[in-house]
Amino acid sequence: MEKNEVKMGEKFISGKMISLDDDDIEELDQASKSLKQVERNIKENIASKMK
Amino acid sequence: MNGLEQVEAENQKIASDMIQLAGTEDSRISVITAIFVRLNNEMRLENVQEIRRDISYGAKDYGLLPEKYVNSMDSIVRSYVQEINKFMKAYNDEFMNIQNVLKSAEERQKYYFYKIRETIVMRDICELAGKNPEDYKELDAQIKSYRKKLATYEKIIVRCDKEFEDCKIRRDQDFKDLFELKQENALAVIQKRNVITMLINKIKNRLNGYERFSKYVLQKHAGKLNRMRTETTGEYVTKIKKNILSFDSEIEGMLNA
Repeated sequence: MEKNEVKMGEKFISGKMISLDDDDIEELDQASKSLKQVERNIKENIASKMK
Repeated sequence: MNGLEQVEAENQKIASDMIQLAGTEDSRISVITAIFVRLNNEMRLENVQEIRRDISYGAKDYGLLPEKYVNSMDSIVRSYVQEINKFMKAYNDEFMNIQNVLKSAEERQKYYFYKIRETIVMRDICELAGKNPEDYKELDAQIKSYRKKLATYEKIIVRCDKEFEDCKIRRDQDFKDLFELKQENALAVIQKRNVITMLINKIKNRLNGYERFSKYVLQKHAGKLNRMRTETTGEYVTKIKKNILSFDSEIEGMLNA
């Protein structure tokens, strides 16, 4: 079963390398929240130039 | 910097923000997917271990050596994994559906950011050229309509994030209901600990330990697996498919509102 698992790789998130395969789920959860915050900030930036 | 150069500089900044936004959205989807897949694998693995433990302890309870029943254990585990995979596939389909809706909403949102910016620049040019506002009121109407679309896609993105969470909660609960082995009740445990009961059980095991193991352990799993194959797994899969349709219809409603 484990042999067929697809490796998901690594991502550089909030200044550090996160392993999608090996890092703790809580760490991934935290990374997802940080990314959501970054998304919000970028959207606010873009929206501010569209007034 | 003249007016045109300023507009150009702002356009470049927005283009760069859009690229950063696309990269961040892509990373976030990868992380959310990784969490979902990893939890699927963990649940599957824990369940397989639980089943192996149950059969192994069952054999010991009836005075048998678990090693002698590895083949029966493997066969039962393989059948459970088949059922778990059917269940997981249905939840993966639901997850992928939410992911596709999210990706599409994020793409459309970026498109409308671009359209709003483009139309605002066109309107500003008209304004600077001293045109009559009546001549470019259509542009104002377009900006308003694009902003509405932008807000709709933001609502869909928020809805998808909530649906990811709900989907995980439903999967965890359904998995528990369908696959987790029910613990023995307290009375049965006390009965097993009772010295006389233990002695009687020991004698019974000497006489027909394998028959009892087969009846109370192997056949218990066989019966459960049979119900799963013929009824329960299918019922859960149908329920999950209905969730997908219901979510799609809700999104359709948001787009048409």
